[in-house]
This record gives sequence, structure tokens and C-alpha cells, in this order.
Amino acid sequence: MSIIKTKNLRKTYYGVVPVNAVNGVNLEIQKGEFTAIVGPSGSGKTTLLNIIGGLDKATGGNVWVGDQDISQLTNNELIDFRLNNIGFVFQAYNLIPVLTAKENVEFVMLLQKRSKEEREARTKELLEAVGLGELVDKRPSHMSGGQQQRVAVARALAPKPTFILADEPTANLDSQSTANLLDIMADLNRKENVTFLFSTHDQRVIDRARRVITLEDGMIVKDERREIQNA
Amino acid sequence: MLLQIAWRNIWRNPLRSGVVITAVVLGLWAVIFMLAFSFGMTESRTRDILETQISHIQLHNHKFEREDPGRFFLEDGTQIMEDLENDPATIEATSRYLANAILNSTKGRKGTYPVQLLGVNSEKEAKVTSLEDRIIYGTYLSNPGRRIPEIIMGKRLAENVGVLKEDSLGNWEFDPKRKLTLNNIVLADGSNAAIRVKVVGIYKAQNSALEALQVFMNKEDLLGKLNIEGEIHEIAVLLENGKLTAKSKKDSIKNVLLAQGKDTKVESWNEIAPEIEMIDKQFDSSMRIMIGVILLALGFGIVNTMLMAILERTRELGMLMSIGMNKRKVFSMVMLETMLLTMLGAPIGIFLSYLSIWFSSRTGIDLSGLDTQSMSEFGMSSILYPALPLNYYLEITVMVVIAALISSIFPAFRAIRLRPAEAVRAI
Ligand SMILES: Nc1ncnc2c1ncn2[C@@H]1O[C@H](COP(=O)(O)OP(=O)(O)O)[C@@H](O)[C@H]1O
Ligand SMILES: [Mg+2]
Repeated sequence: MSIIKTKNLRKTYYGVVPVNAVNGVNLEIQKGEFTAIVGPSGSGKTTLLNIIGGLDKATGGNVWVGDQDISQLTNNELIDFRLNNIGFVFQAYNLIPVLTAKENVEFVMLLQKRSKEEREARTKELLEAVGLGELVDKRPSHMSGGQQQRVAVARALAPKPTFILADEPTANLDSQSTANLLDIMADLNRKENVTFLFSTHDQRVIDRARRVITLEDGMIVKDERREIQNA
Repeated sequence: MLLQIAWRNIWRNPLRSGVVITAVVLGLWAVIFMLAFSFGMTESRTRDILETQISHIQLHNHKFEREDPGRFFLEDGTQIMEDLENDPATIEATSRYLANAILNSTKGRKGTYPVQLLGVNSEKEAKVTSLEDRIIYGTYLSNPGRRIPEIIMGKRLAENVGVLKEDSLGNWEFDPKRKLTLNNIVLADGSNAAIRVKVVGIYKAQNSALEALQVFMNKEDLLGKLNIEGEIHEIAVLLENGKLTAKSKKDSIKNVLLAQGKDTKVESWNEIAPEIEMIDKQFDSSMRIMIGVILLALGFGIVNTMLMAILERTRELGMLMSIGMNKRKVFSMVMLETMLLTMLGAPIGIFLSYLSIWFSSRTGIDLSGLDTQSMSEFGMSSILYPALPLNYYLEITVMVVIAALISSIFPAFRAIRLRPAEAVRAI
């Protein structure tokens, strides 16, 4: 069974002129996929990810995560749904600036009311997995952009979500940090079978994806799968 | 964890938070000290009136009228006086015989002046109304029994009658050898009498009408000269902590007298001079308004600052809601931040106020540089002792907490009204 499925998904912004940011998207993502959404700026990548992630409501169509039709959920239900099912990595401002790396990762599990032992063990494990074992007590302002994004990935994984949504996670990173972050994501995907759905318009990132969905004017114009040797 | 985040959040912009906290501190400090200042002023004014003029409790015959005391004496007055003097709550009591009279001035400015003659025990009167301390020219009443009885009169009357005279340099001069005649002294049976008296001293009073009216002499002299019985028109009592205890003490005195079958009129200061209590109440409500205004201003400032902080953190708040922080938690976090800011400033402000009131109430604030003339004119001290009863501090604390709660609600509402999809896109 697919873990994400959209049917005829639409989103129209009613501005001075109505914009069909997402225009009839039918999409299925299977468990363990490593998918990039690509397309020029303004093609609707962010809008699509926001609707799939339950941050925004579609104008038409449906989104299922597992067997839950999230179009039916109220805003309050969506918050809990996001907490327990979706890990988010944004382009920037991912972390709570006043918390250390460790506290940031722990925070979501605290929202989930997990036990102290579990929180501490998992935080340690995740920060080591993203290669930041020694930065646990640093605040975001004392980390590089790449390190912050790696903490964000650890934080996104902490609540054991169904999948991870990342909207242009490397847009603010230099190529070394980009490669580094992609290594970690690919590693988690391969070893832990974590499902990633990310948007990008960076060719080096696109090259690492095993499935590439191309958007243009809110419509899927290409959907290709390929075998690549990731890391 | 929320508290921890809120706490750290307010220190992200130390300057801004510092300004808010300082505003709270200074605002409260200013308002509380101002209150203590005016409270000290009304309190000392009230105390002056009570301790020089009306005392805490007065007793009269039910039919007694000050304008025409006549034969309406206190029933069993001497016994009542004795009982009151033995009451442990009493600091001092004084009894008075009152009679209307006419003062004729033959020298100086000629004319006739209606006066109220009060026959008193000079020692007791001095203790109850500080009459002796208020003598500004000449001396206080000495022992009774002089051939020509001594009297003292108010400054206004003395000027009218010409006992006080202004010399060519503008100085007031008191002529202690002046003898006057009190005519038409209205006795209890309605008949009239006259006596020659000698003015030995001039007193000051807060109430200038009384200063022009009341003439004191030893009761023994008065009664002796007039050949009348030792009746009493009026008893005035000064009580321990009387401003507060007078009301209940009055009731108990009344009940005791009723039980003895005496229907005596017993009044507490607030019944004798209701305007004093009215001033107190007015002070109370104006203080509430003042605190309200200051807190409102502070509240607005805090709300504004916090709204700014929320605006700056739109993306971060969007991220928090995206990753699953629910509205209740976001609301609490922002509210906590506002509350913390206020609650950091409030205790400091209140403590500083307390400290400065404590200090200034020990030394007093000397206002003699200001308007000393008109103050001492009324027998008021030019040294002000700021004071504020503890219950005001409590009230202010409660009001601050409420103000903090109210002003923390707006920024918190603004925060949860953010929509995550838009917030994370915000620049
Ligand atoms: N809040 C909004 N109001 C109006 N139009 C919007 C809004 N958000 C995005 N759009 C428009 O929707 C289209 C898709 O935007 P977006 O999803 O951000 O694309 P991408 O992420 O691929 O750059 C763009 O034309 C954009 O201008
Ligand atoms: Mg985008």
C-alpha cells in the first residue's frame, strides 16, 4: 500500500488573478522511496508539499497518508497528525533558536509525551546518526548551516514519522554541506528504510534521487524512476 | 520545557526585555510612591483634624445643639466622664461646658463679636486637642482661681478684637495685659451674665471659623463666676488607634450607656465630620484610577512589544506549529513570555517602592521649601511622612497580575492565529 496518495489535487490562490498553484496532481509514494520534486520556481513545489504535509488545505481533491484522508481533518486534528506522522525539514528556521541541538530533537518527543529514557536514548542515537554527536549542547547560532540542517533531519526523524517532507532543504547550503546532508538522508533511506519526499532545483540533489517528479504550472509533467548507487 | 523556552525567549532580545522590565519597575515605583505620598498627606491631615479639633468620639445630650447649648447637659455627665477615663482604650478624655456669649471690644477695633465660651479642664483639653501646643502668642491657661479669669482665643478673633495688633513694620504684637468683658453669657436657664476676663494667649486652629469663634477658659473659673452646677455639655475622647477603632468603640459605649438606662448621643469622628471619610474614599477611588491608568499604559507597552516579538518570529512560530506544537502550547508559551516580563519587573518595582517609602517615612520629606506658609497656617506639619497600608500593596499586586494576564492574552492570540503554511513562507 502507498503511504502517500493524492487524487486530482488542486490549489488555487485567489489573488488579483487566480493562480492554480497545484492543478490536478495524482501522485503515489511507496514506503522507502527517495523522491525529488523538481521544477522551476513558482511551479508549485512548496504548495504541493504543504498540502501533503497538512500545513495547507487543498481547494479540491484528496490526500491520503496511509489510509487517512487528511483532507477530512480539522486544523487541530492536523496538528496532532503532523506531530505523529510527518517529519518536516524546511529551507531555514528549522530549529528553536533558544534550545540546544539535543533539546531541539527532544522537544518533539516531549510534545509526544514520550518517556525521559526513550527521549534521551533516541536523541543521542539520532544526533550520532547525522554525525553531530559532539554538538549536542550547542545552540543553532553556534552551528553552521549544514549542521543546523542535519539537526533538523534528526529532529524530523525523532517522532518516528511515516515519512519526511523537505522543502528545498539544501537551498541555503554550500556544495560540501549539500553533499553531506544528502549522504545522511540517503543513508537513512537505505539503512532504515525512511521515506523522503523533498523538493529541489539543485541538479546535484536531483542526481541523488531515485525517483524524480517534475512539476510545471502545478501539473506533473514527468515522473521517472532510476537505479542509482547512493553512497 | 515551555517555561524554559519562554524564559530563554525573553532573553533573546535583552535590550527590549530590559526596557519592558524597567518600564514596569519604574511605573510601579512611581505610582506606589505617589500613592504613599498622597496617602501620607491625607492621613496627616485627618490626624490633625482629629487630634486638634473633633477627637475620635464625642458625647452629647440628644437635644444638644452647638449653636444653642442651653440646658441640654449630659445626663450623669460626671459619672460618664469618670468611666471613660478609666477605660483602657481611652488615651484622654475632656469634658466641656459650653455657653454663647458676646465679646465687646472697647479699645482697638470697636465692635461686638459673638463667641462660644468653652469651660474646660485645661490639662485634659491640652492632651485631647493639643490646645497648649497650638498657642502662638502668650501663654496657655494656668491654674484656675485667679481674680480675673484667664482666657485664650483664636488668632482670627484676636485680630478682630484688636488683642493682636500689627505694628508699623508689619509685625504682629500681642498685648497680654488686655482685659475684656464677656457679655450676654447665656446660661442654662436662659438668663444672662457677664464676666471680666484677661487674654493670656492666642491659639491657632486649622478651622478658621472656629478660630474666630471659640474662647477657652478654665471650667472652674467659669462655673465659679457664674455660680452654676458642674454640668457637662460635651465629652470628647481620644482613643488608642482611634481612627480605626472609633466606630466599634462608639457602639460599645452607646450600649453600655443604654444598659444603664441613659439615652446619650455618642458619635464617632466619621459621623461628626463625614467629609473626612468622604475625602478618604475619594482618595481611595482616585488611587485606583491612577493605578489603573498606569497599568493600562504599561499593558499597552507590553502588548506592543510582544506583538513585535511575535511578528519577528513568524517563521519560527510557523515551524513550531508545523512540527506539531498545538495551539494551546503556543498560546501558553507566548503568554508565559509576557507574564515573565511583567512578573520580573513587578516585584522589583514593588520592593523598591516599599523600600523608598520605608526610608522616607522614617526621616520624612521636608516640604518647607515648597508652600510652607499655607501649610503651617493650618497647623499642618511641613514634614510629610509617606505611608501606605499593606493592603494597598496586596491590591496593587493583584491588579498587576491581572494586568499581566490580560496583556499577555493579545500577543498569544496573535500567535495562534498564524497559519503555518503562510508563516513558514514569511520572509
Ligand atoms: N499565499 C499565496 N498567495 C497567492 N499566490 C501564491 C501564494 N503562495 C504561492 N503562490 C503562487 O503559487 C505558485 C506556486 O508557488 P510555490 O508553491 O511557492 O512554487 P515553488 O515552491 O515551486 O516555487 C506561484 O505562482 C506563487 O506565486
Ligand atoms: Mg518553494
